[in-house]
Amino acid sequence: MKKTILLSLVVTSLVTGANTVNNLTLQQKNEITTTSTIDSSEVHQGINLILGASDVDNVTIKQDGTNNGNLIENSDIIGTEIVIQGGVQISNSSVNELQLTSENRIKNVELLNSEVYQGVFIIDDSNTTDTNADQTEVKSINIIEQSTADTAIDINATEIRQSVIQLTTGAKTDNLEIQHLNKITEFSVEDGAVYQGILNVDDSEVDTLYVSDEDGAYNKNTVNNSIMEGGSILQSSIDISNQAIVQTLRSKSTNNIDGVILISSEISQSETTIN
Amino acid sequence: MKKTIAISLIASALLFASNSDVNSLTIDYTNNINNESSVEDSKVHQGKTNIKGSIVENVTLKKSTNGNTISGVDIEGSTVEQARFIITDANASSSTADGISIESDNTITNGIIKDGSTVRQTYTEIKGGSTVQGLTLKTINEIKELDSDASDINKSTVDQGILIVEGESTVVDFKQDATNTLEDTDAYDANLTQNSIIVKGGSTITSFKNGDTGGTSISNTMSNVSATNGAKVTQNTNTFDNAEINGLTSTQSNTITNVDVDQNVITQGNIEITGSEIKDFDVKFTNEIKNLTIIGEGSTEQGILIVTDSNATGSSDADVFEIEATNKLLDTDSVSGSSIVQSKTSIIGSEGGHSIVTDLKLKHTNTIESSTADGAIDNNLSKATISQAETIITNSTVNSLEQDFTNDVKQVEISDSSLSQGYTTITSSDVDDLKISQINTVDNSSIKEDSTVTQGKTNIEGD
Repeated sequence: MKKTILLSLVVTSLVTGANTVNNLTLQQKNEITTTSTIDSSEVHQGINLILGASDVDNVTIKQDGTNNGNLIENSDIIGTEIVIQGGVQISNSSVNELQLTSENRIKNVELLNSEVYQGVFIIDDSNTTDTNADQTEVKSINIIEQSTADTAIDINATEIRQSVIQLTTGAKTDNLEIQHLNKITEFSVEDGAVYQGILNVDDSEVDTLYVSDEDGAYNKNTVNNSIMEGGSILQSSIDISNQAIVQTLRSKSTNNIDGVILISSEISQSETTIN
Repeated sequence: MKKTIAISLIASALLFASNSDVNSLTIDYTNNINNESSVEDSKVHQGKTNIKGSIVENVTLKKSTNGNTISGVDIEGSTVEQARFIITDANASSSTADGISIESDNTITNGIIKDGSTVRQTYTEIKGGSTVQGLTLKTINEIKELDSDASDINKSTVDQGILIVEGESTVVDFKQDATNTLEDTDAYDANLTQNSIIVKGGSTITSFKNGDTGGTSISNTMSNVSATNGAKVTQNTNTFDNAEINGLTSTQSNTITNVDVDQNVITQGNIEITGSEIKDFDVKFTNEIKNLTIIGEGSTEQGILIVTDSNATGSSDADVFEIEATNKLLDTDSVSGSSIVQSKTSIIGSEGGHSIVTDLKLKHTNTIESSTADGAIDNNLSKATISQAETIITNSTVNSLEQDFTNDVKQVEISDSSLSQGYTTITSSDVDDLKISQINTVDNSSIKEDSTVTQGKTNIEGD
């Protein structure tokens, strides 16, 4: 009976400094619904960060499907510095076998003086590897829409970025496959900017990079049934710069602007820069 | 009346000399202190049992009719104890599982508790290297219908259902059912504790069933509480410090209605494990706070698990080391600087320390909402920090952790505040097989004035 339970029982496996995670599965459903206003605030939905010398193996992040995804619905977003849906950042770390699927939806929402990001994937100063045959996969569906077609909802002085992929500052990846479906529909945009499918490889190395999809369901950028005045639309931008090394890059994209009235606005589709 | 409550009222108190040997003992009791009495600067003990330096088998303490009752008595600057059970340096055992059985009903009604009084109902201590085998407690602790004064319990301490095991003691087969009630009672600036379990000092409990004797579960209720000036209000806190627990099941229902909090913390369902070994845990909490007003830097905590420098392990049974919590806040107003925490899990290694957690399952449902269904915003949270389902793993090893979280915020106005739903942080640790499933919802609410809403965030970060 005279036992003393000391710390010695639990000091057997001391890990100092190292941070390792094996077999990580995340299923996330994040919703803001029927909210009167999101005013001068920030919203972050489904944000996953791997930072600071972490070693992560076999990661599945699922933000789509019946019980998952990021949704803001029937709300007004006013003067909101940042709204992010579905973001992954890998910084100064090592990741093996990553599967990310996200569905990000903003529905029946007026946007005023705000900044919106959907489907953000950033690797900097990190290694991502894929030891199996299937590539590291980043899939995102990003939609800004409204349910009734008769009235356009206002997007005013707001920047929208859908599918933002950045490899920067010494990032290395051996096999990376990116699929995205970006859609904005039934909106009246004034003094705003829309970016869909943005890939930036800056001071980084990529062995094989696919920005495409075999079944055609993904990698589409669409703006339709909308009015834009004093704004800009950029669809499918690839920017490889600052001594980046890309061995193989295959990009296949479909960019649609359909039923859109443009007034004093600028459009760019499939813009590639190698610098 | 100065100490006129005679020793004869302590009829059931037993005090054994050293090395006594009792094989079978049954005591039925009824203790009453009723109207026209008053207790001032005094001590009152009803149903106090003290086993010291002895060997005891088969003890039954049982209420005859009403148990311990104090009715219509003003308690001022005094200590009142009902059903206090102390085992010191003794060996109390039974060949049958229910051999040592203590049943007590403890009631205080129609009085006032004030000015530094201490009231203890069912206060059990096992210490001094004692060994207890087959202990069953069934208690009903009630303090209700006190004087209509606005501060019926004032600047005093009330403990209901306290268990302390310390001094390298050992308990095997411990079962407890308790109903702890503070009802129709205005408590002001008082420390109120219901169902606190403390195991420390190298003590061990094997087969510990808290709320599972076949009767009702642990039920803790309070109403009309005003907690100010650092007063503490807690329901079901479990503290294991340098302890060993082998097999714990616990089912509790914690409810607080009409509560004001100012400069202090209200806690429901808290498990704190430090420097201990824990095996096979199965805990279920239902925590509810209704009609809550937080003033100043007040806080509420519901469903907290803190593992520090400890080894906590489930077995191959899928049901063990599982914590299931339902946390509700209804109709809440916060003026400024408040903190609201629902379901926070911390697995921590201190500097030079380390925790190991294996086969842990967490299933938490957290709700902040209105009690009415009319859709109106009935919760106003300003300058508040609101957290639902936060997990922190640091300097630790975790093998197989499953988290299933549902977080709801409805009919809430949030201004100049932060709301976090489902936030997991892993630093300087080794984690294998982590599954997080979470549904985070903000519905029918207003978010404004530099607020931040974060839903579903994971941060894996090394040094």
